[in-house]
Amino acid sequence: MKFLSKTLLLITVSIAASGAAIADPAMDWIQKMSDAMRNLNYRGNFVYLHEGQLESMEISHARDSSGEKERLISLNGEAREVLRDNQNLTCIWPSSRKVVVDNVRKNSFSPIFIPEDIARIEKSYGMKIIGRDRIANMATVVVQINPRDNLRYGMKFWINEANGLMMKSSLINEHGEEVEQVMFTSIELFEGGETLVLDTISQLDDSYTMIRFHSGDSSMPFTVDNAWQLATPPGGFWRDSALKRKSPGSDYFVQQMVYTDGLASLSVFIERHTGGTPAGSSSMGAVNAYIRILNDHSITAIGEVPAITVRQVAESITYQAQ
Amino acid sequence: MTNRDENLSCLLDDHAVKNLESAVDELVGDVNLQYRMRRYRLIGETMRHELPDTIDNDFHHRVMARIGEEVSAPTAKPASADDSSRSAAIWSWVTLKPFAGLAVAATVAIVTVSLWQPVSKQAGQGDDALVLADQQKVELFAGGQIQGIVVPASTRGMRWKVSKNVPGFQQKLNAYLVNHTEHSNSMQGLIPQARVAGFDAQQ
Repeated sequence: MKFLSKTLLLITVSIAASGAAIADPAMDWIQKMSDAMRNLNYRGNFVYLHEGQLESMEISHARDSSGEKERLISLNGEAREVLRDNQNLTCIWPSSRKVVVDNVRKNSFSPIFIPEDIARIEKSYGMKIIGRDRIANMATVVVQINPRDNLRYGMKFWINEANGLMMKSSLINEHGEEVEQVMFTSIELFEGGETLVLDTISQLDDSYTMIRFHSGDSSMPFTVDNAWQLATPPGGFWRDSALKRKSPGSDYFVQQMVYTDGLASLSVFIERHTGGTPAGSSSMGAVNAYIRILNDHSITAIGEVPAITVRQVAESITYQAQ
Repeated sequence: MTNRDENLSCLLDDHAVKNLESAVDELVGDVNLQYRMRRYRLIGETMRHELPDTIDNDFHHRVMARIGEEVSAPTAKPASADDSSRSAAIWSWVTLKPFAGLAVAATVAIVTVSLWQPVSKQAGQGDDALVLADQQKVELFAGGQIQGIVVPASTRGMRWKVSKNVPGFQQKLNAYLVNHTEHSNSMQGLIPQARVAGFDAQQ
């Protein structure tokens, strides 16, 4: 009897374990993709489709002992270059002869999923592998991510079967329309362990102007005003971070609170209302924003989420003096 | 105020200009007028509190010094890079790293302060036709060594759809979006990065 119990227990545990392993192979691919985008050295050209327009860009990404580095160059329209590493975001506009650098958060470019996040994500999204495809002459697995409500967008990823790199992605709005797409047309891996030098598209000379917008060290955090609270975050969203910085060109502060559901995110910006920011909805492609004026402050919720979500968030912000 | 000054002021203030083409021609052909335009623009930016806190005038000295260092000590390139066309480029990633603490959000605002987009909208004509005409002027500006004037690459592209078009509002939304992109961690492939990299070409 004892033997039978043990056997049954063993069988039960085995089934549970194997079930967990194959429960969400789609999530495994998403995890693999995030790891690959973060850790591999790659370089390629991709197209970005939005609102009927096609932009062509070149990307180089590398990881070495100092962390991640990434360079984006626009290949059509005005020459533009964006350099990014774990500390700085640098933008260069050759035609307007300007270079600007900003601090960025010191974590990875792609999300690092922990089991807790995965459990939360699965509450908000359903994932499945819907087939295989060929992108840039490479075999890919296609993973579809469907939101379980209308508070977030759906996504579709074409993931390189060999190395996990994202070859194509689509953002799908609440009406089932693909609103923004990115697709590699060519991509190659760097040799590992080599020093990456990211040359700019033009030589910077003394005609370039460096423009400073922050009088102090923007990496110095100001204390966040916790009186500003989101009373009821939309289902599945939680507060990821909060920061406060000086508003460019003024003595006012801007507080930013970032909310995420594990895949999508939105930010709430709160600053003194000085006019020039009309309340109401705005949108650009898949990005929505909603502005509300409260206590002489403008509250702007913005992110790659449906209009209903940013509105709900902005309307739920309260100020409770401590 | 002379007629030319009035036209200039109208161009900068986004007001209708009686004869747009001749006003633009006049501006392109008159260096004094161009300098005056820059002064007017500076005054406008001051009044709108859009000026940067400081402008780092010493930047180019440091840039040139660093470029000199790069020339004397070339760095290895990635193995798979076909960089023959860029062999002359000696500016490396690390050169920019010391200059931290600036706001990219505000750069979007700078780049979007363009002269020609408002002009094209004032004329009440189809955007496409004016884009072609104005881009010729833009090229003149770009090649005319008139530094300090921001030149849009394109007047096409997506812009914010807003309930009320208030001056500076688009720039503010752009700034929010850039900061959102940089401080959030969305799993949306390269779309957020592409959106930021493509910003100024569109606006």
